[in-house]
Amino acid sequence: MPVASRFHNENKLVKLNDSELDKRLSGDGIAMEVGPFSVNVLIKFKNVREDFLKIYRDFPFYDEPIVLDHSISVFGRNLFRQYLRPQAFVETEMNNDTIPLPAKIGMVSLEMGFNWQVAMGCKQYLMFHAGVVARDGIGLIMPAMSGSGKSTLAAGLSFRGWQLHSDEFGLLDLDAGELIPYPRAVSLKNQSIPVMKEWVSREHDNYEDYFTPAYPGTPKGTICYLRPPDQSIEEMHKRTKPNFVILPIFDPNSEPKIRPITKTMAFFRLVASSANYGDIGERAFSSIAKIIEESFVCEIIYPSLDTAVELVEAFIAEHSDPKKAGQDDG
Amino acid sequence: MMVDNILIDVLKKPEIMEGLSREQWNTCLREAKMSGLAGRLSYDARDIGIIEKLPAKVQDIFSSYDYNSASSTRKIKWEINRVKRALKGSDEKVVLLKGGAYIEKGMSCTVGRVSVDLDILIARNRIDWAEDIFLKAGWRHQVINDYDQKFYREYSHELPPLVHPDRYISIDVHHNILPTTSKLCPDVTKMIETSVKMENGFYVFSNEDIILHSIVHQFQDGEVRSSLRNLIEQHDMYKEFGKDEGFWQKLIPRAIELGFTRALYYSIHFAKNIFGTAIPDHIIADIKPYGPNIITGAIMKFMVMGVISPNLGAKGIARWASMNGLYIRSHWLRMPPVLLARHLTIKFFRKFQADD
Repeated sequence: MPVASRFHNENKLVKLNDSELDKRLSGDGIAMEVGPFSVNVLIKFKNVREDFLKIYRDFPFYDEPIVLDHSISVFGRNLFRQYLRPQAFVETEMNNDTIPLPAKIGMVSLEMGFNWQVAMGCKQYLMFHAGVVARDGIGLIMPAMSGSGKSTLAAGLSFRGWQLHSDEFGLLDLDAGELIPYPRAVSLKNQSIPVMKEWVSREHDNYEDYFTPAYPGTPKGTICYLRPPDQSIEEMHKRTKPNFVILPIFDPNSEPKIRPITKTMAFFRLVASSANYGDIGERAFSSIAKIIEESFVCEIIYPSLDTAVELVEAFIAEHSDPKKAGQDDG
Repeated sequence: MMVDNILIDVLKKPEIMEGLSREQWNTCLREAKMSGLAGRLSYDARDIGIIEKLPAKVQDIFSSYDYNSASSTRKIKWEINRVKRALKGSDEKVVLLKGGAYIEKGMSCTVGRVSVDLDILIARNRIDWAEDIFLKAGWRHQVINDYDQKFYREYSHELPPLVHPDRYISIDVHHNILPTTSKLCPDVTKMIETSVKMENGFYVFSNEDIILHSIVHQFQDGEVRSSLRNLIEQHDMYKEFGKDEGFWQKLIPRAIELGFTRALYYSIHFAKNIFGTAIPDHIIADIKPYGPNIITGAIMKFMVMGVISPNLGAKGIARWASMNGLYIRSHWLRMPPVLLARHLTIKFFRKFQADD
């Protein structure tokens, strides 16, 4: 099972000087730590390197050789695609069949490549398509489909004192029953971009610094990436047991409300959100059963980020002693 | 023909995993992942009892691939079960091919293996009947593009792939093991005739035909990406089937009968030279006349070595030439030139259509 690295972000990428960083990222790549994974990142386009560093500058890198989980490179497939009409191709070394994107939005290729690697190459952890955050021993899983606003909600909570595990890949260590933080670029789409900018600006004067440029014209519309809060990157190895499962439903025309659901329903929703449930099999079943047994569960329906955060915090405050979980099955 | 390749070294002698440096691990794992052999290495490490001596990170990566291969085997078995259910009441001879057959026979080459689809073979005149049965039982066509549908039906050796919407495993229903347009398309009824009935009612080819199918698939049908995996499977099969002397007696005559002698030559040649496969001397002597001329042999060696290791010789022109050379060669063998030109042209222009 994985060994959490012991150093505490002394080797942040940003500690390297610019030319050294540029040289290494565009040369053999830099082996860095992203949550439980060690990844070698190589980027041949300058603008993509800049965007990448905007998000990952405080992530730890390894100076010594390390066994890698993954390698990722972003490059033009030939001289024409590197220099004349630059097009960013991503190689994940996992037989990805990704369409190259214009180099201007090469950061999207890189993030898609990261997603591919974790989706295809990480069966040792139970994976939820969910936003996951933690605070003071509370581990909150928010499983949801794309478009339900879970990325925005997870990021929103993380800029209000919660530790961001992930905005879309919840990972569970099957042996320890703990959620594994996997903070990466938060992927914001279309309308959620101004919402998050406003949200982050309430806490940080230099809020623009947390965002990459917006990338229009991707298959999912306009995408913009947000850097996780500094604290969440610092605490990349701090794991928490899950004890709340909240299913978020974004509905701009609704009244904010908490809707109780049965544990049985929550169980099935968590199963449905898990990308590798069927691959892991029996252990996945028993792990999810245990999570649900030990968690408080509900649905929240919300028209805005403000109301969503209020609902989450209200529900958690109401059940503030996680030990009481399991007493109020619907 | 010595190959300087860490993955091949490890496949041959798994015990050397214990002494690999971190850099060597990275090369080895990268190639293993890209060749679909990471699960195999994991199995080997556990099999010889060294898994716990490997770096924690390697164990961690291996455990991901263990789940992968276990889940793939489970899914294929379940799909076989579903196919059996769909065919209930019929006594049609249905032959499991490739992964499905290996799993059903419990062959040694299935360890750590991932199969993504289930291949079955049925007599050509029963193919419409089978399609009808599967569609009624809930399978759907995966390929809906008109050109592809038409191409499959007119020129290929299988129905367009069917997939069940609840399970995402596609089943390929074949009526031959090679496209009917192929220069090497065999009289498959001979293979169906000698197939063997399994406990669950399905059939599998005889051992000679199982290995010849794998061989012809790799050396004639352009399985470029999984070349190394195919070759080590053949290595395993020579070892497993070869315990029975009858296998060696039947192998070459069968290859002659089916017209697969050149492919068999390549398999024996490359398996022996790359993995040191134990092949009886009389087999090597007897297959030799079926080998290529010097020039063809050299070109083939160059191309096969170029693709066998995803990163050997880096991303150079040699690899590009090998990949594309074998791709073109496989298509050349598959269909007549005019059809080939037409097919590749359509495929080429389709690259530019956004919705494909």
